Amino acid sequence: MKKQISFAVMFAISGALFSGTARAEDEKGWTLLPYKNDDFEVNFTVALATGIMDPHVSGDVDSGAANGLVLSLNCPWFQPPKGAIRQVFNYNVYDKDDLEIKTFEMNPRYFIPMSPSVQLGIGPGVGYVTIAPKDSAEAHVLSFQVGADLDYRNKNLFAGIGVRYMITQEAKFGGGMVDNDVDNLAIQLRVGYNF
Amino acid sequence: MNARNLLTSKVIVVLLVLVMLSGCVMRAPPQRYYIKSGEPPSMLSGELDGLSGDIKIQLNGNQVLQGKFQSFSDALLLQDDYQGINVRAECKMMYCTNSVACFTYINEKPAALLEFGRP
Repeated sequence: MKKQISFAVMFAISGALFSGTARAEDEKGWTLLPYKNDDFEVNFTVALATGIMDPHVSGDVDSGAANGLVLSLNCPWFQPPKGAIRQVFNYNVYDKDDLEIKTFEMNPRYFIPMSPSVQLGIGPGVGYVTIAPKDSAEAHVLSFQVGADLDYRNKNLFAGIGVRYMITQEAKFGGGMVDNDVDNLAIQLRVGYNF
Repeated sequence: MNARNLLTSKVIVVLLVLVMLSGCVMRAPPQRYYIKSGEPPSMLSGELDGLSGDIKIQLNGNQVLQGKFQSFSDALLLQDDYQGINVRAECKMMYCTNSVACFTYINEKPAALLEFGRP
């Protein structure tokens, strides 16, 4: 029940974020399927990420390093007249206290400019999480997350910082007799290349 | 934190420092424009501080326009006279390329497109 309430709250927050954005942009109109336009540019970014992940798992599990990869591109499905929606894919690995958590996340972000080189992005996301305790069977669950990114772009250089909170489905893992989740908070620095 | 994670973290932090040291000012490639036929071309150029939003546009190396992008703003209009020449720049964020484009006009005629920060 608590888990369902958490999902509902996060859906409501993310829905409010996007509906508010949509109302602000409706007057100018959105572009659907912008990839069909000649001036559409994918604008790929690839980056390495490092930071801290704090899994809220019962037992002896502490916060630890979470390293990974980030791939982002302009959203080919929707383009607002102001700001930009980018599809951000994150792959992260946390490995500490005999517990390994691997997350693959799809986190669309609505970006607005703080300055010409700095953009703030917010949005929800979904993911696929592998929970792999040492010396016991791993489990696979789906996740939902909400986060914010602050990106710096200067020609081919990319740097950024991101924070997101993830809630996951529950599953039995690590020889446990009851279902458990691996809800977690992650904060990461990123550096990469804009193509 | 195991050794591999520690090494990865250090590499990324070092790369971040290098990015910061690379500077924030973006320069637009200079563009030629013939103000009067039969005379040598004039050069339009510019520089933009990506963090502060300060932008300067030069004509033949002399600053003719200066302004600042406000936070959360994606457009800026600059206009001034320089030695009897009217110079105007309409600058806007180009979200598709994460760059800034300034359409410049001299005496109300399109003169050059200055692009800042395009990958």
